[in-house]
Amino acid sequence: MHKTSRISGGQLVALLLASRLSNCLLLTPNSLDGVTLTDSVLATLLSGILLFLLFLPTLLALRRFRGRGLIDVAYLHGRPMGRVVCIAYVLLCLFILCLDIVQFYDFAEKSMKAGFSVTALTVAIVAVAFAAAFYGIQALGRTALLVAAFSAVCLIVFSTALVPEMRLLHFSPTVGSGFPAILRRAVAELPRTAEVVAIGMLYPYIGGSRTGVAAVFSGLTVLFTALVSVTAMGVLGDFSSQVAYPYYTAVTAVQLGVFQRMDILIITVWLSTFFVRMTLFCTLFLSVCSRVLGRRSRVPAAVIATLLLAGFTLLVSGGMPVGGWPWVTAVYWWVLGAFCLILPPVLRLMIKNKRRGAV
Amino acid sequence: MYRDFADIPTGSGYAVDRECDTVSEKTPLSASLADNLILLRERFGISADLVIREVRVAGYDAALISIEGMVDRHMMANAVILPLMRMQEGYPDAKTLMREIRENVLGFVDLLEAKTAEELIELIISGFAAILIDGIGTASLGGLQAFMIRGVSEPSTEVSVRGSREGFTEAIRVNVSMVRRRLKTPQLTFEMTSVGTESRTAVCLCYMRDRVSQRLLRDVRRRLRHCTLDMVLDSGYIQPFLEGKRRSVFTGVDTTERPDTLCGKIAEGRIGVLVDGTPFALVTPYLFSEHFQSMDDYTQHPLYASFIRMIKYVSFFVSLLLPGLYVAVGTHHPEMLPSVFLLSFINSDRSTPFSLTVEALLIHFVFEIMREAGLRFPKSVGHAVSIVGALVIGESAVRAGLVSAPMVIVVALTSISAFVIPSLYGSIATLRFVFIVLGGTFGIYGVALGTLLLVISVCSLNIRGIPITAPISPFSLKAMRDVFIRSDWRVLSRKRFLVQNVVGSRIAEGEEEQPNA
Repeated sequence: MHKTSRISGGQLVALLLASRLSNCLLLTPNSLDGVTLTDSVLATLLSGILLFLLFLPTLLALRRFRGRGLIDVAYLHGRPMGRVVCIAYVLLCLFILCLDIVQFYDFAEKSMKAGFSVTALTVAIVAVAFAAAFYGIQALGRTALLVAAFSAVCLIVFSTALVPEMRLLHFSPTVGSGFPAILRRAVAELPRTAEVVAIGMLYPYIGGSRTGVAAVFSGLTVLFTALVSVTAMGVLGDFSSQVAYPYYTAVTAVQLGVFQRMDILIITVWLSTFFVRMTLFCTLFLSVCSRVLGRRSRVPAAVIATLLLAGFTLLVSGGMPVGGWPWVTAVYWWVLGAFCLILPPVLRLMIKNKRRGAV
Repeated sequence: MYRDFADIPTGSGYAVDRECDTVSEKTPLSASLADNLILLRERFGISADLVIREVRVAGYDAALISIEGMVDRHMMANAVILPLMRMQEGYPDAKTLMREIRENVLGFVDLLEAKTAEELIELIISGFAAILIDGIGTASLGGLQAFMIRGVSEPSTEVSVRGSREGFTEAIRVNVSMVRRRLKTPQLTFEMTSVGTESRTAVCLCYMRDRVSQRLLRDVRRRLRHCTLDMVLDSGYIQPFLEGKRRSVFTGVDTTERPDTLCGKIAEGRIGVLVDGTPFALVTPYLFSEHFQSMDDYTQHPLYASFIRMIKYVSFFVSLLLPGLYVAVGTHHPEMLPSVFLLSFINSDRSTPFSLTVEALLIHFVFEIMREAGLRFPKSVGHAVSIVGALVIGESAVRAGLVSAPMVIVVALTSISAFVIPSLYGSIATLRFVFIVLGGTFGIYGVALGTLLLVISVCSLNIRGIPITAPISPFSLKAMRDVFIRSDWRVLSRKRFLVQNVVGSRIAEGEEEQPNA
């Protein structure tokens, strides 16, 4: 990524939001966590606040080193430190991409009912995402703006069309599930927002106003997550815990115009957001690789990563039960915690100590 | 106002661009007429169109040099040869004689002087008549251009209902005059240069000094200087040099055949590039949304113009995606269709021997063959090709069971829609095949994936620091007054639109240009 390829604060919000929507649309019974509909909305609101708090350490650290990203800050301490942080980010991007592939494969297998090979489609998406990553963050930011607008409009249309299908009975009293359950649900929602780690790397590429990006993103995430939860649970009620993807199941009930079913459209919307998410992390992956190994390493790095992810896809399609591993969410939590809560203040402290020593 | 890259003051616009000249060492003209004539004959070889008329002028040996067919023969005889032959003897030297000829004998509007063989040759081949006198190492040249040109006619690719019927012609000077006639401001500037080391094709940059971005102008000049072609026979030859590195099937440089459209673009801070011998002017930077604008939009009622514009956007998506979506739905997602339509679809599809993908590829391929044939054949035969095509493909192929009737409808609809945006036809026609293959392989997901890759490739395009997808993405609500809808002229005139001020432009911000731009 060239530092001349800037994106505006609005484009960054759109980029993060489009990426987040890919997770938001795949509302699962696990993510509902046994809370009632109204409590689920409260939990979503609470998770929005927690999400914003998760952004703060990174933002505060970056404010200190104006115009630099976390990797640049690490390099300020010295090349070894910079490389260690870079390798950590490379592994993080690969980890997120692997989990995305698992999620995609699982959803595709359960929902698409396609006449073609889902494995081939998954590999194609990985390859296309890496190819798209070469267009740079600026192009991705502009594309994300269009995708986010398109997805938002579609979500609103779907939810509006589903209003007649909602039942008042499904709206249970507030705090019926108890506050611990609501808090548990709110915390469980956080690992679904992997975008929070991206801000540390994207910060130098934001042109114009940077203030409010985290707040607006958190707010919009809350809004759309609540919309999806309300729609899914309002239509399906308790049945939502019986199906794999409640929102998707609810939307299949909509009939718009000549189209008998809306499942293809919701999958297309989801695929768009998923593409943005994959491309975002592929772009970050290539950016970090070129920082460590030089700009010429981008093509070999992309090829190697595509092959690795294609191999992982084959493992997943071969029956590797990754989706069922209960520790994945916990690992996700620890990883996010390390990159959002620990790394920024630690880097800040190390630089401060180094400067003191130099004086 | 004409200006040359090398700032040579001239009234003709045919000044020599010294920076573009590839002959690094210039040969000065000799004081000997015989030597100069030998030099010219050496350079032109046995070319039959070089005309050298040797005469005696006031007792000195002289020669009139021109290219046959490039100068007006009557003017040459009456305004040059006769007055020269009537001059009396008595001039002390050739230099005085030449000064007298320049000041009192020749009555040319364009009167230039050449001191080197290269300048002399370039001006002669541009239609100037040269006078060389024995004893002086300079030549006087007068503009006597009079070659056959096609008259001004209606543009064939940008027909307007209410607008002007004038289109550009092949003669650059006629085109310049058509632009000047519409923009009577001294701010309008024409910069002449030549491109092509062998063809020396005249190229003219048109812009408004008070509106164009100087960075933009410098960049266009630099790119033209770095044009390494030896032959430039059309504006399409230099278009890639203005585009820079191509990362998408779409481009930030486009053409127009209409002088009024070019004037509109110039008034928005863009640069027009007229190329001699081409009735199409290049315009840069060209935003993606401009493909959906036409001259008629601005002459009709805003409501109707907005409606037409929406139709154009819909047509774009129909022409690009409909065949791919049809193949995708028919092959992989038939459950999306209403049952009545589904039954009729299955019935028609069963009667054909090919899969839907092969059928779509085949029929689109045949359509493109017919279109190309209709375009290249003489007009009378072209009509016959259309009739045969319509009968063979539309009627016989369906009856023979080679293709299904819905597919013919899809192809017809797609093709008609593509003609709504003629400037994008090439890109759309190519991409359509890709989307058919994607739709046949991965269904709607393949089409969605292809669309996203296309969108990101278009979004990556910056033409000289200006994002061509602006003002859609990056988004500007204010600029939307002339994108999806066309606002009233009273609204449009409130604030002047300049392309360098478009949202996301790095020209306005003064930032460094992106390397890939």
